[in-house]
Amino acid sequence: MRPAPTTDETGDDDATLLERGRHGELLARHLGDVRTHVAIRLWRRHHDEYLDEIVQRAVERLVRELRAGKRYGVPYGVVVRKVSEWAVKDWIAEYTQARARDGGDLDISGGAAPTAPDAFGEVEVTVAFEETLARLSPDDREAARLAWIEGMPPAAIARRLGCTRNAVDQRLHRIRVHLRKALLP
Amino acid sequence: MRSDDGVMALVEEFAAARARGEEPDVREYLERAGDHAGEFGSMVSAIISATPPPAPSAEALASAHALLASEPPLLALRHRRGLTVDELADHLVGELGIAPAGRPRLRALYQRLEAGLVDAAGIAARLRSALATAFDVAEGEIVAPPAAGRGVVFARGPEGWEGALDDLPVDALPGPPSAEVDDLFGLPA
Repeated sequence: MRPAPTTDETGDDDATLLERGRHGELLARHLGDVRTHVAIRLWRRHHDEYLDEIVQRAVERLVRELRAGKRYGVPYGVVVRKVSEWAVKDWIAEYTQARARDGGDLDISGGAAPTAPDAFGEVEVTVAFEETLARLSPDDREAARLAWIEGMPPAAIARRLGCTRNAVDQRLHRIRVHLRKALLP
Repeated sequence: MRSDDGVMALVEEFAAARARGEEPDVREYLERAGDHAGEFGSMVSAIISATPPPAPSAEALASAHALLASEPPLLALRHRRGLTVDELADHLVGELGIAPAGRPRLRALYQRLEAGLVDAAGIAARLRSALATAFDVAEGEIVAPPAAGRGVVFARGPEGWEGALDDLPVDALPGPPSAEVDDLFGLPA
């Protein structure tokens, strides 16, 4: 586990950081998520050897856009996700072209072909996580917030909410059912 | 992974670890999700896009500020740890088990990496890991400037940096040839 955070103590959200030009804080908050998004998109398509290169490309694009003062009509977390996905797609396109140009001699070290169907390409998430949370009962919503956003284990949630561990487990189960219905087709 | 509820529990476990700032490696979770990896990945992507990320470490912040200021992020991380290039080279030699004769070459190549003359995207995983250990950051925070040919190459650094670089002609590196060291930095054989 990394040391306790020493920055961002104001608790400002992404929109505030972007609006106030605190781009370093904004980018730093999302560096780990870039890697997560890219790794998910690459899963079972290539081996890890390409992960860092694609992550770097995604970060470079985010840096370029922040430097240029770009504004977005969607939350920055969505921007990070899309830029990460585009970086994977662009890399695959370049890879495929290079492979064709070089007569197929490039080695992908046993990974699946880049042109293989994307394991996640057909899954479209149509309902936002926050919207799903908003539809929960207040008690369930608070339990979800503590579990998913604050990262509390069930026992800590039970203490916080003044209920039994079993009650928390039941709430979390209900929440999982809601989320699964909302986030998957 | 057998049940849908199991996938959701795994997603919850990942989200909680991320919220606690533990920087979980999603690949380990995808592996555990087994046949449900597609569902797991889609849900994790959706959730981390819509929930606030944890506060960044001071090191991640230093790296991000350097990137935005067109300064070498690795330099920022090294300075943050108070390490000289020699001290870092010593650490890397020890951590990676490089023969003493390979140290001058490793040191020079690290300087080129820091300056953006070696593409950080091509460095070996174990070098990335060793740098992460030296700088006390997650491996994903080892980001570096775009390499020559793909963007800006940094031409500034701390005192003495330019002189050190001048001592390293592009086509010659100090010390004896070392395929092991070259491989760490992704140089062609």
